[in-house]
Parts: sequence; C-alpha cells; structure tokens
Amino acid sequence: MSIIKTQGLTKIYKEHTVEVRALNGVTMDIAEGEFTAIVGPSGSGKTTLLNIIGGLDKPSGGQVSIGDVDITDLNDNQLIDFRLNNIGFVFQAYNLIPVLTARENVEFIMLMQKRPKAEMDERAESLLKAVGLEDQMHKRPREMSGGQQQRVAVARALASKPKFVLADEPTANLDSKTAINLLDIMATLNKEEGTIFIFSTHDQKVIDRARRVVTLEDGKIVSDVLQN
Amino acid sequence: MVVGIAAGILFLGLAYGINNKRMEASINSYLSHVQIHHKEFRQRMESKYTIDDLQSVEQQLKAIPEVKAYSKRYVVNGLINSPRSGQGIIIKAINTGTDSLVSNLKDLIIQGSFLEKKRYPPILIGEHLANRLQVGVDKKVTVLYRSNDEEVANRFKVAGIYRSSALGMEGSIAFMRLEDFESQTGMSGEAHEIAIIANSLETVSNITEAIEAESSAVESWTDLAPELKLMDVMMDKMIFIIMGIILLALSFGIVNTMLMVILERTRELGMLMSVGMNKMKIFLLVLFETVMLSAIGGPIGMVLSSLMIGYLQETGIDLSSVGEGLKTFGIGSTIYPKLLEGDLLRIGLMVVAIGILSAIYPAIKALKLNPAEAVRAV
Ligand SMILES: Nc1ncnc2c1ncn2[C@@H]1O[C@H](COP(=O)(O)OP(=O)(O)O)[C@@H](O)[C@H]1O
Ligand SMILES: [Mg+2]
Repeated sequence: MSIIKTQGLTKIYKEHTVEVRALNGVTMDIAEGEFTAIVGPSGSGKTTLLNIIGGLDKPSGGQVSIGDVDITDLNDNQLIDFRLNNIGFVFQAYNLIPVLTARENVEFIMLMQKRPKAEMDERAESLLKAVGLEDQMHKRPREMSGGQQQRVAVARALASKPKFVLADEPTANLDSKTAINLLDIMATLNKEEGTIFIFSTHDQKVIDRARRVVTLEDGKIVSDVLQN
Repeated sequence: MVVGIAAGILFLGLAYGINNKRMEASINSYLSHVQIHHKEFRQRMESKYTIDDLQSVEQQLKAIPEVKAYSKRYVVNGLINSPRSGQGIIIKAINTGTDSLVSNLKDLIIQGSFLEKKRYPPILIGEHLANRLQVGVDKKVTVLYRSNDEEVANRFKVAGIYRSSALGMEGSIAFMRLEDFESQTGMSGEAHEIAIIANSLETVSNITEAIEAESSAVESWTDLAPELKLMDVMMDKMIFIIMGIILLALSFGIVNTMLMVILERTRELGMLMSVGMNKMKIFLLVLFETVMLSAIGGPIGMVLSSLMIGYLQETGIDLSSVGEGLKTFGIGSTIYPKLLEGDLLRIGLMVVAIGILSAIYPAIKALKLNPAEAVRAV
C-alpha cells in the first residue's frame, strides 16, 4: 500500500517576469519499504520535488499526502512537527552541527522529540554502529571524512524513526567508492528498519543500487522502472 | 568588536584622566578640599576679616577624623613691582611647615627654592608672573599691600619660581612666609584662610557638615571653584554622548557580525529547520549566540582596556608634544587615565543590553528564512 501520494504537482518559480515551471504535473505513489532513486539532468526538478514531498516548500498546484495527512493543508508549525516525527533528511552537505560530536548530532533529533535519555543513548549507539562509526562517536564533523559525515547524517535521519528518509544528492560530494558504500549502508537500513528511502542522484553507479528509478525531465516524469 | 569596546573604554579612561588631572592640579596647588574664611572675606578681601574663634575652629578640625591635614594662611590683595613692571596679585602668607601637607607647591618649583628664611623676606611667584615682571630668582621686588587700613611696602627677594597647570594661578598668586607677614603687619595668631585636605574626595562633605562656626564660611572645592565642578559635569555628559556613539557603532558591529553569521550558516539553519527545529528554538538559538558574542567580546574588551588603563595609570601618557595646547586648559602634559569601577560595571551592563537588543534583529531575520531556499543556498 502506498504511503506517499502526489497528485498533479506543479511548482512555478517567478523571477521578475520570467516564470520557471520546475514541476509540471508530477503524480506518483511510494509504497512501504521502497528504495527509490529520483534521477534526471540538473534543473529537471529533483530538488523541488523532494522539497515539496518533505514539506519544506509548498507546491503551486496539486496535492501531497503522507499516510492520511494532506501536508499541503498544514500550517508552518504543524509542518515542522510533522517533519520532525515523520521524515528524515539527508542533504548534499552541511548536514551536521559543527560544534556537536557525531553522537550528539544523532541524539539532537531525539532530544527535540523529547525521547527518554536511555532510549536516546541506546538508539544513537546502535545507529552509529549500523553505519560503521562505532569508533568515531565522539568526533566532531570536521575531524571526519566526507563519507563519514554523510553516514552520521544517515544515522541522524533515522534517529527519529521516520516513515521515510529524503536524501537530495547525498553522494554528490563523495568519490564513487565512498558513494557506493553509503548506498549499501542505506540499503541495509532500508531492509532492517523498513524505512522508505527516496534519494536523488545523477550518478549511474548510485542509480544501479536503487530498486525503483523515477526519471524527471523538465518537471515531468518521463520513466518509472523497477530494477533488481 | 573587542577592539571597539577596548577603544571606547580607553577613551573614557583618558577623558577621565584628563579631567582628573585638571581637578587634581587645582586642588593640590591652591584649592585644597575645604577652605574656611570669614563670611565677608570672599566678597571683600580685606585684612580685617580674619576668622573668628580661630581656636575653637582648630579644635574642631583636630577632632574630625576625616581631616587629614590643615594649614592656616593670611591672604591679602597687593601689588608687586619689579624695576620693569608692576602687577596686582593675591599674596598668601603660608606656614612653611604645615602648608606642604595641604598643597604641593613645593613640588611645583622649577627654579630657586622654597621659602627659606633669608635676610630679605623670600617670595615665591609663578613663571607667568616672573616673565611679566622680567625678574628671575634672587632678584628683588617690592610688594605693596594693605593691612588694617595701613599700606605696607616691603622689599622681597624672589626665592623661587613655580609652574602650575591650575588655571590662572601662575599669574596671580604669590606666596610668602607667615612669620614675615606677622612681623610686617603686627598681626599675630590670626588667619584669613584655613586650607583643609580630607582623607579622600568622598569624605569632603562630612567635613563641611561637621564644622560649626557662625561667622565663617566653610566651603568645599566645588563651592570655591564651581567652574571645576561644572566642567566635571559637562565632561560626564560628553563622555556619555561619545560612549553612546561608540556603543551604537558597537551594536551595528554585532548586528553585522550576526547577519554575516546567519548568511554563512544559512545552510545550517535551513537544515535545523528542515529536520524539525521550531521557529522559537531557532530564534532563541540566534539570540543566544548573539548575546554570547557580546558577553564574550564585552568582558574581553573590558579586561583588555582595564589592564591597559591600569598600566597607563602608573606610567602615564606623555602628551608633551601636544602638551602646550593642553596646558592652556589647566592640564598637565602627562595624562594618567583613570576609570571608576562603577563606570566599568555600567559599561559592562550597557554592552550586554546592547548585545541583547542587537540580537533581536538578526534573530528575526533568521526566522524569515525559508527552509527550502536555505538548504539550496551554498
Ligand atoms: N528559488 C528558485 N527560484 C527560481 N527558480 C528556481 C528556484 N529553485 C529552482 N529553480 C529552478 O527550478 C528548476 C528545477 O530546479 P531543481 O529542482 O533544483 O532541479 P534539480 O534539483 O533537478 O537540479 C530549475 O530550472 C531551477 O533553475
Ligand atoms: Mg538539485
């Protein structure tokens, strides 16, 4: 059954007199347990789509529902709460708070959710272990490599036990070996935790790891295929 | 920002130092802290207006703990003449023993010596007057003054020449020995003026309140030289206006720094908003950081500048290159910056207040960030 549904999503950016149609009628469903890549050339609307699904941005037209909530109806404060409890985010960079250690960065999300301390400790440790950073828990972001930082970001995204994780070009700043390693970790967590992962990329090796590939061009879905 | 605070405080210290220097110069050289005269004396400087009940006044002075020292003087108007020129002056006949306890006159002498007993009665005049009369040390002058309706004329020898940064003193006040005055006039055991030095500036009013003498006027230095007090008050106001300007600049500095920080950290703030940090928390975060910025910068600046002032208080800043100009304002050429603890505290509080006020704008600015835009910004 589908968790995320978008219906005829459009997004028009107006810059002075010029209108840019970043999304032009995107309708798609995402089901439980998916591991899906959104691909397409630069400017095709990947970021815009992920931002709208994640409730960071409002569409110009169409709907997004997550579970039984139409998030386009929520106000700003409701959206912030909704994001905190339902969605994990991994960005291309600047994911972590520089002054906090890896472990504190992961716990920080649960702190905002007001989870009990024991649960926070336990979950932060097991997630950092799952992403292979059990020895790096007390390091700060600048003491870690780019790949390690992105792994902390993945652990952080999962810490809140979200329904799904949105990752906008999470591997764009990584070399391909590190990128594939990150994808493998994500795939494992997708299986073990049952969390949906939706990530955008234009790296073919990363695309190969996805089970479903949705291709955008000029704000429209031009292909949607399952692969093994 | 630290530099701004340090500069501001240093400036303040310097201004206080200048002000203090001027005040001290006047107090130490001729004003002292408190003076007692006959009530009529300050209006009409006639020698018949000596202090009544001198003994009782002296006894009171000895009993007041705040009195550090006092000295009796005769004061008359007179005329001083050299072979070249003449000039109206005030003559103070001082007790050479006790007067150095209430005045630093001895240290101001630049030529010759203090009033040592000689064959000719010695007189001490200011550099300005010496130039006007065209006389030097050991030269003779004639001094004419009225005492109890009698003209007294005597030959004096210039024993020393003093230099003072107190306004007007050098040109108009000459000093002679009390004993010489008594033998010239036949007066004895009386005084026109008692100069008193208090333990500290703060206890001056205790003294003026404690002395009871019906026909005498007991005046503190602020009564005697209201212009000094006025300048003090004006200086205070000026200082606060200038401090205000500095603090304003400071607050622009803080706002600017924080806006830069927000700009630089747009992605981080955007990330925090995206992952679910609510607006109130973002607002408080930026507010807190800005306050911390001023709370850290403030004390560092303050410690820095107080250390600097502390050091300069010992060594002084030699402004003799521009000193000629300062001298005309009654200020010596070496400035010892000074700062009161209360002022430091006041500045500290002001910096913190400015910090909080300046924090609000950047914090509101941070609130207006759109998370989708913010995470895109690189
Ligand atoms: N804030 C914006 N204002 C105007 N145009 C924008 C803005 N954000 C994105 N766009 C435009 O929308 C289109 C889609 O952008 P984006 O979603 O970032 O594509 P992708 O992530 O696939 O590179 C592009 O043409 C881009 O220039
Ligand atoms: Mg993009």
